[in-house]
Amino acid sequence: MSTHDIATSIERLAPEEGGWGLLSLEGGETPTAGVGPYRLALRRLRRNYTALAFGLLFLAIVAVCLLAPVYAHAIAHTGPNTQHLTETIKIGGKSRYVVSLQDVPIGPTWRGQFFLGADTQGRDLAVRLLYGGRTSLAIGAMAMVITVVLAGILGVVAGFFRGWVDGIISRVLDIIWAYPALLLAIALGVSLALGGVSIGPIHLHAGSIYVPAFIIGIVYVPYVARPIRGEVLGLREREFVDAARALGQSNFRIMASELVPNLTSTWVVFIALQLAQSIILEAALSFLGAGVQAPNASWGTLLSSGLSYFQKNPNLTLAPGIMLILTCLSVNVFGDGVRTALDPRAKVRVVR
Amino acid sequence: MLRFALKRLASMVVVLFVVSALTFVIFQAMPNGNPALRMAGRTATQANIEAITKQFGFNKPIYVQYWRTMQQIFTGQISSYVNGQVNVLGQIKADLPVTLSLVLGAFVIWFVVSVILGLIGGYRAGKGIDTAITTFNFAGISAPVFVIGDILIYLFAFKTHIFPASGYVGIANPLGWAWHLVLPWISLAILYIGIYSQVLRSRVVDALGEDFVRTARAKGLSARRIALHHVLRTSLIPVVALSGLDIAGVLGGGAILTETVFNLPGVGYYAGTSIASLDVPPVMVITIFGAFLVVLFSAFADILYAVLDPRIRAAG
Repeated sequence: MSTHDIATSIERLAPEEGGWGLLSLEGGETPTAGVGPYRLALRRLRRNYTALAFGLLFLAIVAVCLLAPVYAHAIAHTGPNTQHLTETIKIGGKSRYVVSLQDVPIGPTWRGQFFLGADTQGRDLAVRLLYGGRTSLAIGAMAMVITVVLAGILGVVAGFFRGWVDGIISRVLDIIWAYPALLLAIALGVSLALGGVSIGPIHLHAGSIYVPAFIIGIVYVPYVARPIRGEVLGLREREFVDAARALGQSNFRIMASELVPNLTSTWVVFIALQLAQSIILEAALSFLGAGVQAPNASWGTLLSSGLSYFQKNPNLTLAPGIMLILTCLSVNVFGDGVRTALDPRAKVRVVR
Repeated sequence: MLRFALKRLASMVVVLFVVSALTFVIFQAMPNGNPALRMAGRTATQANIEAITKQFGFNKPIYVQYWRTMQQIFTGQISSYVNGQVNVLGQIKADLPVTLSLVLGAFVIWFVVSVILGLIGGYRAGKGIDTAITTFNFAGISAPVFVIGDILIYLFAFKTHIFPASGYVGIANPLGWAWHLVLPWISLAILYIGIYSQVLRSRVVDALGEDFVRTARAKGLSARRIALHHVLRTSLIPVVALSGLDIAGVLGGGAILTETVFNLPGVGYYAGTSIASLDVPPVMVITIFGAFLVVLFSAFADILYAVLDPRIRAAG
């Protein structure tokens, strides 16, 4: 591991035109020609099997959730909100009630219909789990984009211009940061879930899944903007920024084409981290009733509605819980792998 | 130092003002937000509603209402909208021991466990045990507290009946107290164990490469003394600073999820039920309290950094 690290870091120092490429520490290897940093990162990532496995797991979860309608239609033969309260299904020749006369829904059948069992309304849990996953993933992704874009703009602008611009932005961020994050999200969630919100031309109606996405996106801005500002403060003193300025590039151009690309490993870290964090916060909000509103379902709402029947039907609670853990774990581990591949010595890590 | 303290104090006042005002505005901006309607109950007459509106001043401009609420908070005379008999500060005072028991107990667990895991991971970096610890940490970071709580309840309360599933027993009965809190402590601690031991691990790896550790080794100090006095001391700095912030965050409402899962009548639980019933005064008090703790502990963290790390002091 260590000799390999030295080798790659020397490769990284080597100029593009060969020559230096002979400087490879591992004997017997063919001389490496100059390789760009991204190709090197890809090469390192390809050797990190743990990260790749978790990346695949994440892709699989996304794919399965996207295919929810196909599963519902072709395999389970039911919809996410279709109730089968009074029906019976045949298992091994015996017919059983979907929801028993004592109001206990059927457990996992491990076959097409009611693969993971039914909920108390006689709805197919597996189908609802996949549809809920679509909501959770969509909200997580939207919130992540909002956070990273807003925080990116604020952080880069504050760090680049410093002075009073930085002063104003930093004070605003300080205030959101000091506001207990979960309480802010819940307060906004309860308030906006009832009334919707309009910002300029965009109007989000009450109960829309964009409301929690928007709230989560806003709440996390300071946690991302602060470290980015810090990095830009350092980057702006570097030679390539001086060079760009000497060439007469505009401030906007310097920020967009010099600073932003130089923060690549930071973007990667925050994209992964915020995706996982947003999915978790959405679940937490929905769990407390301040997130996704019925009839939409997400892993959080499935989990909290399952809790009332936890003792008799733990699968209603545990199934969405396990999906949540798997999704966030795969995002976090893959994100950390990409981060290590891009910059083994990065200051900003998936774990603070 | 005095300058620093005054500056911090001034910014703290501003932050607390904005946080409280923001809370007020969020709840005022709500549709059907007129609290008088809810307070009057279902069988209210128009006269009833008007009387309540007048009594609580809901018809006044928002800044007058805000000022009044703040006055009530700071004179300790603030009562709940939902139940006028309940003094909010009194209720929070009654709930605080529950939250303190939960948070401090969880803190002891997460701190001790992450120091142990962080040291092992750092010293054995790249080995099998390090991989195992890192995997555990990532799992802890990825698992929401309410999922861990549910799984623990399922395993230890429903399947095996080792621990109770919910409820709180006062500390007057220490055994029952700890008995009821074991599962909540673990659920809350797991996230922080993940974060802290991962931070500590990378700090330990860095410290092991530092000159002062090599010097200590060259002096012939015992491995144990080096680990505790040299490596751990420098590595703990960010962890101690983080601890302050996280304890502040959890005390100021962050324990809401754990308290909800385990039915613990603490401050977070109170915040949750108040938000759900749109009861503004408790939410105001708890957010102000939480923000106050966060600002206070971040100032504390800055000072601590300077005290513990001579390099920062020298850099001024």
